Amino acid sequence: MTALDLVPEPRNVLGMDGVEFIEFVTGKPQALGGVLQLMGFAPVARHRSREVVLYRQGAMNLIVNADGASAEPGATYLSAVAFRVRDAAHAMRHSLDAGAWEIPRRAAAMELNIPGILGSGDSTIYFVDRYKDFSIYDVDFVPLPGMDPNPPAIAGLHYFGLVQAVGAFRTGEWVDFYSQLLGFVELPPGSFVGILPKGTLLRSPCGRFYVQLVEPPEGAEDIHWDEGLVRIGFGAPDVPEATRLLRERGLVFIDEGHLHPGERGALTQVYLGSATFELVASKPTEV
Amino acid sequence: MDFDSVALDASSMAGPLEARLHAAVSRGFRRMVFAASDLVGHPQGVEAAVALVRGAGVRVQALRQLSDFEGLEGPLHEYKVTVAKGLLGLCRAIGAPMLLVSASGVPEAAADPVRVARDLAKLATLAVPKGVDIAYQGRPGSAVACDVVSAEERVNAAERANLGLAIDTGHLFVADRGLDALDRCYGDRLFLVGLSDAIALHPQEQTRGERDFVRVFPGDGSHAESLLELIRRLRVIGFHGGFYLNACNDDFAQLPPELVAEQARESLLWLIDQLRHIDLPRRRISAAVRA
Repeated sequence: MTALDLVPEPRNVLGMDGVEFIEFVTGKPQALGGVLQLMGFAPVARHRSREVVLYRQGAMNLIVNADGASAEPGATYLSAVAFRVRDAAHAMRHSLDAGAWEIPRRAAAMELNIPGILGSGDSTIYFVDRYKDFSIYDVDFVPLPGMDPNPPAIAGLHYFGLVQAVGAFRTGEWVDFYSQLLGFVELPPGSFVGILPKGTLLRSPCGRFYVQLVEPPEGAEDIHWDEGLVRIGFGAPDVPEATRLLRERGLVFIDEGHLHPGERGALTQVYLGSATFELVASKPTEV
Repeated sequence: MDFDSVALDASSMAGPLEARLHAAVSRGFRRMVFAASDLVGHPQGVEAAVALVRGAGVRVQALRQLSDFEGLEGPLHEYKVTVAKGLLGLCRAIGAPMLLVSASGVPEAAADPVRVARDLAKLATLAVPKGVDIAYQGRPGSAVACDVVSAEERVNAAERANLGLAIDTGHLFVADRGLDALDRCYGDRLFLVGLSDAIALHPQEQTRGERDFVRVFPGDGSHAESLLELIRRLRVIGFHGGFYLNACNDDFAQLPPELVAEQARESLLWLIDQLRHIDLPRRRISAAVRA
């Protein structure tokens, strides 16, 4: 029995069913797109009215948003995660009743209105309930000609989780936030995966996604430490094999000290000043 | 306890925000507590007030205050949620890591304790993405929480990491159970302690209009020894929240802010001297850095 086995089954009041997409906002969409292609993503569609491109690999959708209204000049940061839920309207009502901030919707005519709430560092948590028989991208996006709309995942890569920076002594607040609004469950200390075993790990009620909360290190009061989403974790059934294949594509992994890529995980270098990706040993969950 | 960890409540001083800020900073204070009205009442608007505070190099300990939030239903509740969001937005703008919330004075609010707990939990959740802690304070006469003990019961029932208790020592010695109230408190749930004294031993007999008693700075009133003992007991129960000095009274309302700030400085120096052997640990204090 492991520590994970002792964690009670989370209540899935929203009917959460994994991640529909993760979004970057960037002022350098071409450069970020290049990095994502090293990661194995391919651009598959473009938004009808905005400078937004949908990237995909396997079951993972990743949106690169360079829309002028939302992108800070030159900055690249994780701006949103969309969870698949049974009923998005119900998820919104539940969240608002429990104390969430509704994100103003800005869909234009003939565009989908995806409800969302405020997350960490002004990021957005969207709720998507149309993902089985109908794709939200069919409405708002135009397929890129000549591109395979369903590029395969490299080495079985899949979304594993997000790493979130939290302020000093503020882990408890965010544990409350994710558990009360979304039904995440805090895992016992020592439940860690990957090569950066620190902070607090939360598991989604569907068991397919994790959020890792990381406070600033002790004695680092002078470090500028903004709250927000800092990194995507990709699950890989065989991390060394995934690392090898991604290196062949040109992705650079940090290989020094305890950050040596291994069977547990690997961490890429920082791209565009702020974008970094982590590999975590994990098998994809059947959908 | 020093000038880095103890704030001065701007409402203790009269005059425009600029004058009060200058008076406090020139007397060594580096933290302050503001009323939201201090910001929105600035002639050039909120942005100018925020720029003024930030430009003065002052860290904001807390913003006051949300009232009558918990226990309401329907449109009244929605209205109060809107007010709370506005105040949390001001906290974010000015870098205040804490919002002071006063227990509801609406008599009907106490009818449903479950609803009160749910509302306080909701308020705490609203505050999380804004990086704000909620400091809940009993209010004399409130049917929901009229004292420290009942306020803590409400806080415990809501059970949120960023929801804690605020104590006003003025009320504690005048309208509450005095030092005994602390015996049932957990130090880690105490977020904020407002330090003030009163000018008579039984000031409830001095009620004048909206002033429920005459509040003065620590060392200037009748409960000096009790105040010092309270701070010693706070250490014993593991308090690691923040302090602020508060002496809003009719006398100070007609005096130049420099004179009041000087009085506050003398008060803090007196506390430091009296408590020089007391080492109060800090926890929540450092959270203010995230401003």
